Amino acid sequence: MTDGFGRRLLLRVLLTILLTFTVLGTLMSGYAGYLLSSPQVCITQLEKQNVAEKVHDSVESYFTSQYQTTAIPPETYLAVVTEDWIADRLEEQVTAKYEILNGSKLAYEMDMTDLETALTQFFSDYAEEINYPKDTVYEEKLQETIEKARTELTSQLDVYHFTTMQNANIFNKLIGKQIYLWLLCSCCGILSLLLLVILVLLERKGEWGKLYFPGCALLMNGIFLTVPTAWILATSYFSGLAIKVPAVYAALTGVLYHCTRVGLIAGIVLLVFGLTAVLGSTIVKRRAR
Amino acid sequence: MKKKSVEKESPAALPLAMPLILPLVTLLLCAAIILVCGIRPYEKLHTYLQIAFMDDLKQTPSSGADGLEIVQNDITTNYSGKVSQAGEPVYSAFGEQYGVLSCEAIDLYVPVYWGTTDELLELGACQTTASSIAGAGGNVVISAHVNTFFNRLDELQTGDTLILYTSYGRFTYAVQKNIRFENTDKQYILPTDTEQLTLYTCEMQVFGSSSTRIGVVCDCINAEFYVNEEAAQ
Repeated sequence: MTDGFGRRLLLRVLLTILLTFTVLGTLMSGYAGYLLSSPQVCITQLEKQNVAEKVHDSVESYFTSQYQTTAIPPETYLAVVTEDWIADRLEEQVTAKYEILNGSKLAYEMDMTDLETALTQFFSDYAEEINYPKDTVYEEKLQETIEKARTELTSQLDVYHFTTMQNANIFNKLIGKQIYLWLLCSCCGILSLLLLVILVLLERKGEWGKLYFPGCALLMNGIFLTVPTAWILATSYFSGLAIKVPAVYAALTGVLYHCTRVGLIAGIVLLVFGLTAVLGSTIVKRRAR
Repeated sequence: MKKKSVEKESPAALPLAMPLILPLVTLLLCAAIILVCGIRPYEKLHTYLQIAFMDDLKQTPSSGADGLEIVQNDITTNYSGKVSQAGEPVYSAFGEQYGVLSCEAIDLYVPVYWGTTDELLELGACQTTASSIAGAGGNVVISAHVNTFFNRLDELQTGDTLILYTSYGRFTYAVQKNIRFENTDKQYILPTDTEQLTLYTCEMQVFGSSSTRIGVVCDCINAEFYVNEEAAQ
């Protein structure tokens, strides 16, 4: 070992630590930016977790229980609100909310024209059957029923709780903020590349090997991503979430587990690359001597 | 001369253990940095995780509030029906959520429970039962933890508005002044003749708890009682 070994090593270790956090920042901000920009993950989980089926069961149970007080047969609603209809509305809603987040849309209201038509038809048929005049009271009751059905369905279909986020002012604050995540990702990415180049150049003729310190940084990242994600998956951590509504539970845990799996895969890849670089550099350096 | 140049190009060999130990040392350093930087976010996250996983219900209650029945209500924040300037407040049971406190200036949106216990403070803001209920024309005293719901209370400025939504009405308050007092000082939680809202929390400290309290006193600028209460439920 030559003079100034300690100082040189300290510099390299500090740069490696910096590189570890910049790579972690790049990956995390990049994935968060993707999650906030694209509805793909949310939509895929809706299908994978059979959310439409769960919402349908819940809606069916609600309208059946309401029959006792409203005297409107559940079939009136369920003839329109089928599993396919729910699946389409769920996808449409998530896509629209993401469009609002991305700034390409200002507002969204779910289209329930077919349900309104079905209810109007039922009221009309019933009024004719009992010879009830279509006066203002009739119109008021019809509008009240449509509004109630709309409110209930909007609430049941909001499996990702966009409304709650809007009420808490979180959703509005997120609109157009993806750019900051992409910016952070780019900054961290550029800094990572810069640090990588510096570390390689520093070890051009050094005793550790060119890829040893970048390998260490990747190894750290691999450990920091693999250990917690593996623990979450092994213990089924998110399954303990206290969410009472089956559809919301399935959608939310589906997205959370998906993100965890992505983290685990990224962690394993980094771990393999890191280990290869560290061991490879060490072996090559020793053989060279 | 030639020998010197060769020495410079191939440095002395490192002990084998060194390249293998160094990643471990770096890992420990990185973990220490994450640990130190994560103290404050963890404190905040911990409370939210407890709520999300209802950890309190998985443990045997051991505090003085054994048998406390916590009731969470759906309080509407978008009531659009008829309102009246006068009305009767509805008193809640101890441990029941009776409102939602919202403030856009500091992104506050927190459930308010009637009564103060450790369990309730984990779930939201708590109104002391010795104070006046919103709309009754007295001092409405609400507190919450500084590391969670009231972490930005000190950022409130004179004139900022807060809305307290309840099942029977919504009450708008404007910040009149920021306050700072010792926990033994009761002047700000005493009853008043006019409707006002007093919010307070502990002073922020990284370790341990502070005996100093910080908060705001707000004047009621608009009281709206829901006329059709059923619609608000």
